[in-house]
Amino acid sequence: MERQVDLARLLPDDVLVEVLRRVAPRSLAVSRCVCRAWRALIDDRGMLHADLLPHSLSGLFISYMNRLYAKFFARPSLDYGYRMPNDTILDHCNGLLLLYDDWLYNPATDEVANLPELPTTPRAGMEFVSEQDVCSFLAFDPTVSSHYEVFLIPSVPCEEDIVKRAAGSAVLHSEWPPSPCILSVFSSRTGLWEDRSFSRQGEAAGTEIPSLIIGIYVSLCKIMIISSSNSTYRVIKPPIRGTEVLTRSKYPEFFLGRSEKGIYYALLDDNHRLRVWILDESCDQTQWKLRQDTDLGPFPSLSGDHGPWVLENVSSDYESKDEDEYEEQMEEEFEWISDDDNIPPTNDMEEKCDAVMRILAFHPYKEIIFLDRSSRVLAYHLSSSKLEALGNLLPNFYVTMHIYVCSSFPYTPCWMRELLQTFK
Amino acid sequence: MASPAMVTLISSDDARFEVTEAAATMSQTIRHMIEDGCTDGGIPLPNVPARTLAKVLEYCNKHAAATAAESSAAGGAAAGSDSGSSSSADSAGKDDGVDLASFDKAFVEVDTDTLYDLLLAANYLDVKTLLDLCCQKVADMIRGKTPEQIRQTFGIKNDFSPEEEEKIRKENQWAFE
Repeated sequence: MERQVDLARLLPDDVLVEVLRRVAPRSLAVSRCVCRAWRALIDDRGMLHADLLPHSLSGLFISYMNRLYAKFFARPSLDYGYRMPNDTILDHCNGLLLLYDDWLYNPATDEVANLPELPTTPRAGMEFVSEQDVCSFLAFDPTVSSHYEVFLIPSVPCEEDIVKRAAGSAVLHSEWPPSPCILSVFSSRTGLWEDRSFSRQGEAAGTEIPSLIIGIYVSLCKIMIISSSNSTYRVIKPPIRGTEVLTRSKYPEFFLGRSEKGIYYALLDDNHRLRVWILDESCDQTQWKLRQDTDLGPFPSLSGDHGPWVLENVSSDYESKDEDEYEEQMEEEFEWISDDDNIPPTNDMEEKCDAVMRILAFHPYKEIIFLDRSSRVLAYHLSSSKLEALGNLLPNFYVTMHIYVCSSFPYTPCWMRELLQTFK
Repeated sequence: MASPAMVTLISSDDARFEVTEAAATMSQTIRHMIEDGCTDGGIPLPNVPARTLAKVLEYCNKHAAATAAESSAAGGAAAGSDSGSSSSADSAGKDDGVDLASFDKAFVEVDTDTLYDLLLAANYLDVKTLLDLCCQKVADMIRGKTPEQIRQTFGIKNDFSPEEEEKIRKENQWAFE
């Protein structure tokens, strides 16, 4: 007869603590639901540091085309004095920033790490990829592991594909990517760059999206989703054929990102028509579901130029003159994160239809998309179709200049210490 | 070469095990007993049954032997003047490392009852590396499971009401998405 064992009763607390100490935060949070004894142990010993995990959006890092350093666009706050990275941001993932020249940075804890030198030898079968055509991507999920990975992913140019850069985009040959696809991957677990082989998966039904997804590529015809945990990748088609869009829109804006319900794809065309799809993997076949189809054109301009968010660390650029100006910003309670009706009233002024509009980012946890309209940041709530003004993206020294945002990353601070260490 | 010092260990069910002192003293508990001179007529371990003690000693013997081989290889390499012998000692050391890792991996491929017994024994005997190994194994078994799967795996009774469980789940909803 099988002995009925009970880990909680059988093991002394100290041993159970030793076990749970080795469990990553996500599983630890699950373990709290197992039984009273486990929950008491986890809570009494303060083992689950959920408050240190990146679970809130604190702002957007904005990189300008003609400025070396990124700016931080957020609600003014006295609590979070992030040190801004003094370099170009290549990628952001769950609180860690990947910077130009192989640096990793955690603004919340002010920790840095320098990666070992990048491999220079071309991968077998990838000889045609030049060094300039390689994009770096960071993969990090502290709820699963305190280790991170950096992926070098080649982009392959080809004539018939025209691509807008969005959350890491690449132009892809029709036969690209090959299978297996050899990629250079750095793992903080080993401290080494290695060539890793990723095999292509068919459009497997109901495949669960692994927690570590890297390098989501957008082209007009292909999206590549790479799973680090099982060394596979998938190629899926975007929800709408790029060539179709191009016949009607000269400068369409594509954007791929992650938000509340998984992977989202947004398309903004010349006439300010915004369409958003969600990748639905619940049924037999992976498919895009249209989440939103809105004409943003006729939206009236929103309460002038101002909103509660401001650009921080403007003073880090030598061009900056007047940082005091920013401290005059009012600190009003502005719950943009909630879906309530607390949206400031709009005035009657019609926005000019030729206003330049770009997609900046998806909110990582809410169905909100951040837009840049003539250097004003707008938050568009998918669920309520409401548009609210967050603030002005134009640094004061640019007043008369047209600025160009080249990339933006929603920043979710991670307060866990000792994530970064330097490698030789 | 002198034969290694041996000690006798006595399990809770009175089985006697003759092992090298090097293997036995991987247990800090036994080390202290030997240091205190309590070894006459064997060392009684009233908390460890023979079945578990045999398994623990299998682990200790393997690791003590590997440590001995490593230190003698290191000694040989240091003493040897030609590079040939030193590189062969290096590779032997590396092989041992791989060998030991696969031994450890296989060692904890046991049913949950045995794993618990090992955990308890490793804790009582204070064999740090074995305790680490077993704790990691249990932690690995928890990873990626739902609360109900964890209960089933470890035979744990759910003493929460559905409402309570729902409330606790809500406190960390992010972990269930």
